[in-house]
Amino acid sequence: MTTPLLVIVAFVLVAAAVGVVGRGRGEMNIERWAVGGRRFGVVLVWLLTAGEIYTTFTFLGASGWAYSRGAPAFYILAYGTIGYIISFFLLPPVWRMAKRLGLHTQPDFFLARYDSPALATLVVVIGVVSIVPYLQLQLAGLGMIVEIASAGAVSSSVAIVVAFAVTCVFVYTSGIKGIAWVSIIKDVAMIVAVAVIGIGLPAMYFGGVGKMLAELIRQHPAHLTFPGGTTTMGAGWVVSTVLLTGMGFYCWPHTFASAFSAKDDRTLRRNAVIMPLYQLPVLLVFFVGFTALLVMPGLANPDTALLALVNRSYPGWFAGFVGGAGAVTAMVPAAMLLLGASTLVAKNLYRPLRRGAVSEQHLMRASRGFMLVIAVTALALALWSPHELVKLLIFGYDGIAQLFPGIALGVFVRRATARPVILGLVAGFAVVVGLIWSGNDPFLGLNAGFVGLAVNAAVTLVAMAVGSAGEPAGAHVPGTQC
Amino acid sequence: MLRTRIVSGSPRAGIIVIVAGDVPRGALVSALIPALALVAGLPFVNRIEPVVLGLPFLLFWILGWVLLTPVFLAVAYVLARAAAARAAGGAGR
Repeated sequence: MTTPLLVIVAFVLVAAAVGVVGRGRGEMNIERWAVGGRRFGVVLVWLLTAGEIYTTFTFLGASGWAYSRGAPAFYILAYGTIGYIISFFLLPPVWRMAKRLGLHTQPDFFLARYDSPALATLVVVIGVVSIVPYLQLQLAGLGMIVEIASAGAVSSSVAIVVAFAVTCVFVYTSGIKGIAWVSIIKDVAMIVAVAVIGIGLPAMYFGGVGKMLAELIRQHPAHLTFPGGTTTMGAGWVVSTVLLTGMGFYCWPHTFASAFSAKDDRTLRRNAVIMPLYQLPVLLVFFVGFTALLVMPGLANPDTALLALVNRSYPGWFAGFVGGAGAVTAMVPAAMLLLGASTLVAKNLYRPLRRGAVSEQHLMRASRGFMLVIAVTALALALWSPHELVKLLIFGYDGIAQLFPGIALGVFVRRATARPVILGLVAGFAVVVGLIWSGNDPFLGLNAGFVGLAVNAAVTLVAMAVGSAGEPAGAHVPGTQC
Repeated sequence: MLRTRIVSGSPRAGIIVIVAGDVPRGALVSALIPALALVAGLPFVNRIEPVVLGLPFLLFWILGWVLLTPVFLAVAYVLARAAAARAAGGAGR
């Protein structure tokens, strides 16, 4: 085994061990598994939130985008910040409601707020449809990291299967708390790796970040303003994308549900205050991508820019460290996605189908069972349908953000009811699918998902206005199912 | 008994209305400033010059506002806490 590979394997095993040990004592139940018994303070919530935002896409994708697209990649710095600002207002009331009613999942929220099983089911479907490609992307990134770090000695398929199996073990045994603990390793390793290469690589080749940027401005001035190295990603695209992804940020079922693990609503607000600072490593990742553009232009796959430059510039053990950090950076979000999707399916599809005759232990078993089913599905997709990942990811974000009107109206507007939200959701989703399939993304210079979101919001608001005109004011329709 | 606890989140709870009444207008305004700078501001700063601290202006602008956001949100946090404390105090008496 080569040095980099040994380091990566050690990394993955240590992370998994921490995940298994991190479960703590006592019997596992759905409350502990899915929301950590709602006892997490600022630190664990921070780790979880950070665990979700720093994915393989940030590590490889952000450097790849900086390398190939330039300035449009800056949206990655901006959208998380917008997401945190929105969460400052949105999450505390959501948390209070979740606490009062013992909610575990995002569809639980929709069911409790709108009293509509149809809407809750729609939310499950959109959630899972969006999560699977996102999970698939983490796996593909992980495979790429190991394959490059081992210089092809380990194929990406083998790496994907092994690392994912290890991830499944700690999610299966420990649930969300195990993931939070693994996040510590991941975040420390990721920050160290990014700090070293983000500052080190520009210094190594150009004598500093400032000199590297000056060289970039001299050689590729157009790269550093919108639309950068693209023809379609102008300012309009960036603005609409920041809005779309900022609003979609907490719409992911696993991100939304991770808010439930906080011990109180103030924790969430404090978290929102500090989280923007956690975006800074992304800036360093951009610097790596820029350096790679100057040092080794013309790479066939821009996503490999960071790894290729690291391999070329550092000794094997450090390349292994970066690879290991990258591998864990794929495992933690993959674990969150798995946990989120399986809880969703077990609680909001399986249990309603069984008409309520499901005990808590049964639900716990079902969640674990569905976790394995979803894991195998994503694994199969990652192994046998490896293309179109970026397209799928874009589609995932475009789709999941359509939940935003339903969440925001649910929290802030008393009159909002299920039917307008369903109509808007369906309309927005249809517009997104139509625009992407017909090759119209961007549409009129705007992100297609944003166009869908605008249609969604408009339909929802119109339907609310029309619907409330026909109803007696303040009347609610109680559950209609038997 | 266990089952009842879980089911409490189900439709039988009826439509629950929650209102985010604990956020005063000042907190909203404070949080809106960095949001506007990072969204609406972008088309107006889409240039390289002036280079600040070695960063092209566009990147400097985005980075600067990301760094300032915690300050604006901290102000919003303090305002929201104060408003909540006032509301609680009023209700208590």
